[in-house]
Amino acid sequence: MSVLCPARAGLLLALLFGSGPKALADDYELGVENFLYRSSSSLLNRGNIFGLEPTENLFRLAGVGRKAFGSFAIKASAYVERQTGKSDATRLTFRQAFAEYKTQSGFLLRVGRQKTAWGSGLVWNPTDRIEPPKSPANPSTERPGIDAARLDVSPTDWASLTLVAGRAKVTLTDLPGSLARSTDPEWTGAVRARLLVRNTDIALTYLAGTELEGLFGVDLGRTWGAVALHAESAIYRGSEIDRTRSEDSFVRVSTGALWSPGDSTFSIEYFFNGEGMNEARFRAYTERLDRNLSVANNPNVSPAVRAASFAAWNLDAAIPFGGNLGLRRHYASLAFTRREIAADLSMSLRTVIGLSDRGLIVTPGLAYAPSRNVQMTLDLVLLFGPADAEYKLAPIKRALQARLKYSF
Amino acid sequence: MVLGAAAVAAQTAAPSPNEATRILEKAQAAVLGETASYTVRMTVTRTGKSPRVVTMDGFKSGDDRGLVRYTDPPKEKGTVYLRRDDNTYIYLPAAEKVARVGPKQTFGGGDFNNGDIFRLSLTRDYEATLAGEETVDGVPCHVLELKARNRGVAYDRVRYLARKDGTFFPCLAEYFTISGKKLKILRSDEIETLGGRKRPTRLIMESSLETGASTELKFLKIDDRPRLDERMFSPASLERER
Repeated sequence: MSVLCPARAGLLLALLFGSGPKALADDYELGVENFLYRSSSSLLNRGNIFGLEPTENLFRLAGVGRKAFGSFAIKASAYVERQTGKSDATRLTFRQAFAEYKTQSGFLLRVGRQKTAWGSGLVWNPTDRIEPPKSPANPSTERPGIDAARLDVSPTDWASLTLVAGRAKVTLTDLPGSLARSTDPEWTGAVRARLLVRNTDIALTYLAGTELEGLFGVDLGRTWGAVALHAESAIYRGSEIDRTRSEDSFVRVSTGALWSPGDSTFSIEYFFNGEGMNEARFRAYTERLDRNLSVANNPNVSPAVRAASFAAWNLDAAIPFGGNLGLRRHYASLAFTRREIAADLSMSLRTVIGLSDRGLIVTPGLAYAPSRNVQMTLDLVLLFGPADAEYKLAPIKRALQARLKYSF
Repeated sequence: MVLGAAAVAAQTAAPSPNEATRILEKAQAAVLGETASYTVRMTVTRTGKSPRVVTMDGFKSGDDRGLVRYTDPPKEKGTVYLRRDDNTYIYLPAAEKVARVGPKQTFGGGDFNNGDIFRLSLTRDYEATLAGEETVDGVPCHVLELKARNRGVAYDRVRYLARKDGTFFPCLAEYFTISGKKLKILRSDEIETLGGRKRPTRLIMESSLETGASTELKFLKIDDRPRLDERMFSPASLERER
C-alpha cells in the first residue's frame, strides 16, 4: 500500500483546495464475532463433498482504528479468525487499510484497501460491481474492501465525480470451510458522476476491467411524501454466472422504497436479475451438477473421465459462490426494524424471497446496546423452500451470527 | 423549569400577516444565525428507561441546508444526518451506507423528527398570522398561528409563541395534526450568552401522546459566522465519511 508523503502532499493540496474540514475525533473499536453454522446435505453438497462438519464455527477478534491528522487520516479494520469444524484454520484478514486526504470542498484522495459501497439499492446494488456483493441473507455483515486508489472531486455543491482504480476480487469471508473462497484479483476501473437535480439523486456509473467488458449504471433516488424511493440499474456485457455467454448483454434493476414512521423502518425492494436462469436452465444446471458428481464418484469410470467430471462439477459448484447477485431472475426483499422495543433493545426482521423458485431466507435479529460503548447484535439466518430452490443449494441449514463491539 | 402557558386574553385587532411573518423571522434567528456551526447535546427521556444522551456537531447554511454529525456516545459516533432542500439523508457508519429518509422520521430516536431539527424556514413552510398574546412564566408573548402551506411539512398547524420584550425569543410551540390533535409541545428556555450573544440555549420537545416522553436539546457551543463550504451539504460528501 503506497502512502502519500504527508508534509509535502498536505501543503500542496491545502494550497490547491483550501482548508480541510474540522478534524473528526479518532475512532477505535474492538469486537468479537462468532458465526455458527449448521451444515446440511444439498444438491450442491451431495455426499458432503464440501467435507463440512454438522456444526462449523467462525470465531473472530476484530479491531478498527481511525486516526486523523487534520485533513489526513489513516484507517485500519481487521480481524483474526479461527475456524473450527472440519478444517481448523487461523487467518488474518484486513477489511480496510487506507490513508486519505479529505477537504470540506469535496476533495478526497484515498489509497489502500477500502470500500466503495455505492448505490441506492438496500439489498442488491447492480452498479456496485467493483467489490464483493453484500450477503442478501444479512446485509449488515461487513464485507472486505478492495485494494484501490479513489479520487473524488466536487466542482459544485450539486455534482461530484469519483474515480476508482483497483484490483478487485471476490472474497466470501463469512462462510465456513471450503465454502469461503477468493477469486484472483482483477484490475477494474470505475467512474461515477453523482448529481442532485430537482430533488432527485442521479448517479451515472461506468465500470470496466480485465474480466468486465463494460457496465453502465444509472441510479435514481427521490423522496415522495414520507417515503424514500430508489431505482438502481445496470446494463453490462458478459454473463457473470455463465462464462459461455460472454457476448450477450444483460440488465439488472433493483427498485424499492423505505418508509420510516417514528421508531420503525419498513423497506421493500424488488430485484430483476436479467442474466438469471429460467426454470429450464436452472434444472439443466442442477442436473449437470448431479451428473458430473455421480461420474466423479463412480469407481467403474476411468480416472481421466472422473477427473474431468470433477473439474466440470467444480466449475459449476463455484458459480453460487462467485460473487454474482443471484442465479435466478426475480427476487424481493422485505425488512422491518424497530428501535427500543425494550430498554436498549432493538429488533429487525429481514426476508429475501426468491420469486422464481419460492426460496426464502428469514433473518430475525436483535441489537442490544447496554452502555455508551457496547453494542451487541444477534442474527439468526433461516433458509426455507423446495429442495431445488436456489437458497436450498447452499449446504447450510441455518446460521447464528453474533457480534459484539466496544467503541472507544 | 416548565413554562406554564397561562393565557391572557389580550387579542390584538386586525393582525397584519406581514407583522406575523416578521416576528416569526426574528424568533427563528434568535437561536441560530443564518449560517451557524454548533455543538448540541440531546437527551431522550422515556418512562422507565435511563436517559439516552447524544452529543452532536451541527452546521447550518441558510434556510435550506443542515448537517449534524454524532460525536458521542462512542457506539453512535460517526452517524450523520444531512438535510438539503426537501431531501434528508442519513449515513450509518455501521452499514457504511448513505440512505435517503423521509422528513417525518424520528431524529435519533427522540421526540424531534427530521423536519423539526432541519425545519430551517418556518416562514417558508407555514403561513403565519398573529392570534393575540399570552403570558408564559410571567413573560408576555406574541401568539402566532402557523398553517402549513403544503402537506409535505411535518405538522399541519403550529401554535407558536415568541417573547414581546423585543428579543423575540421563542418560548413555546404546540404542534397539531390536521384534525386538531396536539402531538408535541416545544419549550425554549435557559437564556444564556453563547457565541457572543444572548439566546435560548435549551429546547425541550414533549410528546403529548406518550406520558413522560421528552427530548432536550442543549446548545453547548455556537458560532454564527463559521466559514462553511456549500459542498459539505451534499449527499456525495456523506459517501466520503467512511
